[in-house]
Amino acid sequence: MSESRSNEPADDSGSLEQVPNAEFVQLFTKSQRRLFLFILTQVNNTTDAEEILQDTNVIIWSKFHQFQLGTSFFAWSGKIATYEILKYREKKRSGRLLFSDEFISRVAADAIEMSDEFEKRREALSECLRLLKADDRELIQARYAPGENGLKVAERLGRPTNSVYQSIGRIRKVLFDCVTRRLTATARTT
Amino acid sequence: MTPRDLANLSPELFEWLEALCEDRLTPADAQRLEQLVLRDATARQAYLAYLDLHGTLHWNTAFGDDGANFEPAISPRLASESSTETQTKRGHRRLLVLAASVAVIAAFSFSIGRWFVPNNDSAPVAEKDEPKSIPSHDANKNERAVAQDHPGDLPPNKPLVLTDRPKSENIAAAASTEGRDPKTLNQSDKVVANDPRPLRPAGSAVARTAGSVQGIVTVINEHLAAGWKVQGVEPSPLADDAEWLRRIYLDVVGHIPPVEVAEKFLTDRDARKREKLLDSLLDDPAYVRNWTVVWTNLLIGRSDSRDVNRPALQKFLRENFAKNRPWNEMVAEFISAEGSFDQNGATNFLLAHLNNQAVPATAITAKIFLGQQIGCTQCHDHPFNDWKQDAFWSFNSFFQQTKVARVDRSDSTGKMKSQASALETKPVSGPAHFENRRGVALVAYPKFEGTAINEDAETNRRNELAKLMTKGDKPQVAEAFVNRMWDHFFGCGFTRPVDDMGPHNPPSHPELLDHLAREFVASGYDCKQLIRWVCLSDAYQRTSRFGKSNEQDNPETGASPLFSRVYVKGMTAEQLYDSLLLATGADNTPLASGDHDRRRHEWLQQFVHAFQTDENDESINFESSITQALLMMNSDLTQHALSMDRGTFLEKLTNSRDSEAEKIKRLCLATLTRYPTPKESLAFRKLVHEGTGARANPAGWQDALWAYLNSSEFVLVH
Amino acid sequence: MNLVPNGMTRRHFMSHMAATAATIPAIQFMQHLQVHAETVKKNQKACILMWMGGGPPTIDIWDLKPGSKNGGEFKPITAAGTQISEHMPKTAAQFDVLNTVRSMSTREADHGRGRYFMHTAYVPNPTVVHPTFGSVVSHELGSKRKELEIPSFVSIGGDPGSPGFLGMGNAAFVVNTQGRIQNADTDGMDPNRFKNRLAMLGTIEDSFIASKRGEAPQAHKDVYKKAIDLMTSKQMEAFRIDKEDPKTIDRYTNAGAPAGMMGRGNNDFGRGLLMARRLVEAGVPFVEVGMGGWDLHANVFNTLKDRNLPAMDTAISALITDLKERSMIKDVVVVWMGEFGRTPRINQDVGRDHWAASWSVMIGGGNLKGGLGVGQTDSDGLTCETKPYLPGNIWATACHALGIPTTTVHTSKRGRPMKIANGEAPIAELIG
Repeated sequence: MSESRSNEPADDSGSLEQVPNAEFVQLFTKSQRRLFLFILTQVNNTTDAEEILQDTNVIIWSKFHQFQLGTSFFAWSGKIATYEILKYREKKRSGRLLFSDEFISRVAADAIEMSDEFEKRREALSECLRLLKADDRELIQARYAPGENGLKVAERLGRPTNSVYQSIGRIRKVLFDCVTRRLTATARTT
Repeated sequence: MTPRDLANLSPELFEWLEALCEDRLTPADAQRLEQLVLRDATARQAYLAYLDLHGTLHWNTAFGDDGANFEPAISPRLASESSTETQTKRGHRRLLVLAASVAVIAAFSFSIGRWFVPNNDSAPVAEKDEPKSIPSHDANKNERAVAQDHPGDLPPNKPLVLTDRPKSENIAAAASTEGRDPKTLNQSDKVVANDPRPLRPAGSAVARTAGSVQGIVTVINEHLAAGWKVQGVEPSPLADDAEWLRRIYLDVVGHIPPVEVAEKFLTDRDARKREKLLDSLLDDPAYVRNWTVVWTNLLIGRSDSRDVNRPALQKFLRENFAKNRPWNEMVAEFISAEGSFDQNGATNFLLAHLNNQAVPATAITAKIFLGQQIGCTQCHDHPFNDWKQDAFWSFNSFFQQTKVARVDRSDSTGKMKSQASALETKPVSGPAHFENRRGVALVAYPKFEGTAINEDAETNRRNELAKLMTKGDKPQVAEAFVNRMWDHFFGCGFTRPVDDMGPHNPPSHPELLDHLAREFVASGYDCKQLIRWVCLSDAYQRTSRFGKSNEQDNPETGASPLFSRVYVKGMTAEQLYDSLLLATGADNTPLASGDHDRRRHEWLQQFVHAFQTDENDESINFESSITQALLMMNSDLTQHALSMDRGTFLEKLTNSRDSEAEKIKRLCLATLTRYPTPKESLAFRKLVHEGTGARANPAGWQDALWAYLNSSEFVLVH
Repeated sequence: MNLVPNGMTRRHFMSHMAATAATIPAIQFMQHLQVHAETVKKNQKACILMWMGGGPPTIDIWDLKPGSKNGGEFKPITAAGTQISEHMPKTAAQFDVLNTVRSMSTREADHGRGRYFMHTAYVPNPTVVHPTFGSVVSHELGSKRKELEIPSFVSIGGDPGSPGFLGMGNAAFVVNTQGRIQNADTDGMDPNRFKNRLAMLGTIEDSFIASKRGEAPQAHKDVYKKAIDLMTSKQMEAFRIDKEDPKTIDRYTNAGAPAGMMGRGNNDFGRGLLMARRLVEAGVPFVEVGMGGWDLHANVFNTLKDRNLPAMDTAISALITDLKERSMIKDVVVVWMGEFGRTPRINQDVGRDHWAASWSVMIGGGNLKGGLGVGQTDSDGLTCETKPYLPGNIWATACHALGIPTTTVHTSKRGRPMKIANGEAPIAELIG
């Protein structure tokens, strides 16, 4: 360890802590879901979003001493994630990118702006999930079981793919509308 | 976002979002979704909220509902190194117990840490994993200096310093033996295969630096290939003949190739046709016209706000480019010019900038001929290059004897007809006076790059300056010119901006720039030779498309250029005007000088904005502007271009006896220098038969020509 | 050629267009027409930048130094809670909503660099092109105004600069004060024919964009979309200052100066500000209006007294009065600045040279306080005696007035985070 550090640039040496303190670790763990969602809105694919989150985490750890306690951890780590997303897009450019850079930067900017609202939406979501019809809840749970997607669920259920896509889509829309309604209602009462 | 907002959103939006969640959104729909989301803030919110919902559902079932109670995802790379690795049932997802992995991560972080430029800012600024080559110590130091000067900003990109490639004599030695880098060899071979002229050096190390075109081209190829290798990119494929032909025409003679030339060139089977074409372009009168335009714009600008004789300057430039006058001699002419502005066209450069104690003349001379921006040093030392305030005024002091005089011009009857401006030298001695920022009065004697001259009244200071600027085996004048020419052809110079060279802005390929500048001087400042070297280089033969692995080579993003492809540039207003007339025959004498130049100049004025400052700067509102789009869609110029009057391209085309397919091909070739794609042909045919059944619809030809002229492919040089 | 019957309006043209459908650009065109609302929301936030090209001698305008050897010929007069030049009497009367910031210290005294710094809040850097502030506002507010069919950043005879990494979609639309946009209509062409042309263009464009050559082809397409939006919009009327009451035009332009100098109706800056008001009313969030002729290395006092100041005084006071009368002053922030100020010392040609160390800008309107002179220079005008301000402070203050969070961060094309207004704070005295 100490040998490695001696190769680091000068301004990284000195009295810096060698490992993150407990508060950092807590902030880190708490921010994971938010970060994942932030990344997902920009890469649209859960597997890729997890990959990027992993890469982002590695960087967060390597740079923990640059974080100033008391400032926004999400804002700080979001910048790292943004950079990882860019790297990912650079890599992928030879393949296929669904959306343009402009799109990504706009969406990222709004995502940061709306991140508080999203926290509220997530709270509302668990309530809305409870309100689902049992069949619907089962289907949506099947869909989101690890490693699953609409296509695989359809295969397992032996139902036509399109009809499964439609059902899942309908349920997601129901949840989406439910969350939106609940949020509007709370906004009015408070 | 309320339910009412959502109700106003297009139902399609949710269909697309659904498809997106299931990974089955088509690219076409993705594009529509993108447009909607970018345009509409509510749609953007809906997009974000929907994906957030999708992600939350995914996250919660994958990691448990409570965000605080899960183990963070850590790279599988790390996980495999850890003895405490926990394989979960989830197959593709490996989770790691946090505490035990900290040590591993910290160790790993060292290698990652090197991706980053050290930064005092608490923001974790991740500089790209760019500097795979090790930057020289000095470059590093400069960067930090810059970073400190721009507290809110990040250090600029690392320059590409090819420290790991052998010195040029080593390369030369290696080249003469079998021991050459196979990859480099391949690169050259590609060019050879395409352009059969043997570009490899004759064999000896001396031959390649003795000014032979092949030798210098090989040096360029090797330098660039070394950069590709270091950065791990494959260059883009070679451009096809059509792309190359259009580009070299625009770059060398300033307009697209005439359709007849294109037809002939594309079917020509001569293996040396590219080289032959370049030679013919260098001898074409349009070569002279093009470089006259380029340098008139640089020297006196496009606007008419200055008291100069534009035609006389153009005449001077035409004569000099026509005889390929060595560049150092032309520079010396501009610096030391005397006489009236109609009789000596070279006087117009200084006449345009001599206001305000020659401060603008000082700054603009440095900018245009030395590629250095020193304007701000008139008041204080340059924050990060070598120019100090007294250096500015020492340079300025060379212009101290210059006087603008008015000369009466009379006609043959002796009646006074007009006045002319003239440059004269008044016998002034002593220093220039200036004030530093604290208001202390100081003096500066004429001195250029450390060489002082006699400050008496008898010494003609501008003559001395002209000599000093063009002295030696590699004066800054040569380096600045090479950089500018490189930028002209590749769409990006070794530095950006091309006229802001200095230690604060290191070139992307310092050794290549140095080599080319020396060769340029050794060639006797031969502009046409320099163009040959650049245009026959392997890199210039390549396409402007991105290749498989050079996406990073995109200076638009601020990346240091690698020249692994030819960057796209916008046509200048002059190129567009001339190309439009040439393609459509809208003008009976499309490229005639005299009237044509004047008409074009008047037409241009609508885009030019002079800033009305003592620096005589101006801007042109043209490339990628709404003004340009409106002009191309609706202006009189376009009306003329679409005209079916006698003698126009469309009239001849539609009245010819060729088949319809032939005509369609010809129209596309005349505008875009390529044949139409099947899809275009189909759309074209539909237009031509719109509403009239089997009979042709003449307006359809106009509409197709309109579309071709309005395409980005037409207005870009690629 | 004229296939459209007389009397066919833009509305007709649009509904006709909407009846047909075809390929991508045509569809975009249609969607655009359908999306846009008939009416324009009132009271939208906007910024008008008055750009004084050449570097105005603010020591003779906003921060006079009577009694100093650098003081020059003019006397100060009272303007609300502060003082300004005696040659700005009409503006002084409107100063209840305006303020001067008298401790600008900006270092860049070269026109090009100063223009860049003041417009972007960043000093020039070879590796990135920062967006000019009009483009920032266009990016932040323009895209949220669905009903806006004309560009969200208009420059009237100004020196607007580049949209940088925010892209050509946020570039300034540069116009002159004539009030007519050249080439902005199809000259009565049959809409179906125009649609055919766009469809063919779309075919050519799509394959070129797909050929992966960088951003220019897509930028070209985006700019065309904006141009077509513009052509079919009735908001084009906003450019037509000739639609105004002649009395209003007179109020903006008649400086009462002798004929031949800046006589009646010949004040371009006034015409520009009038157009700016019309554009802001139509929903344009950022308008830059340029006034040149400030690079006064010689003969500074006569030029100011006889030419620049009367014209500027008339135009600014007319704008402020007009904004007040229309209840727009609370929503429209006005900023007045140039590249830099000019030397306190008067040179041998009775001129002033470039000076960035201590100078003033003017800012007001919006929800900002008024009548203040913020900051102070010494009695000779040579140094700032209070906290020096940078362009970022001015733009952060404007952000505050426009409702744009000063925490906004943009990302350059290489992924560098770029704080809005260079991360500077709003000027505390002006907000609250």
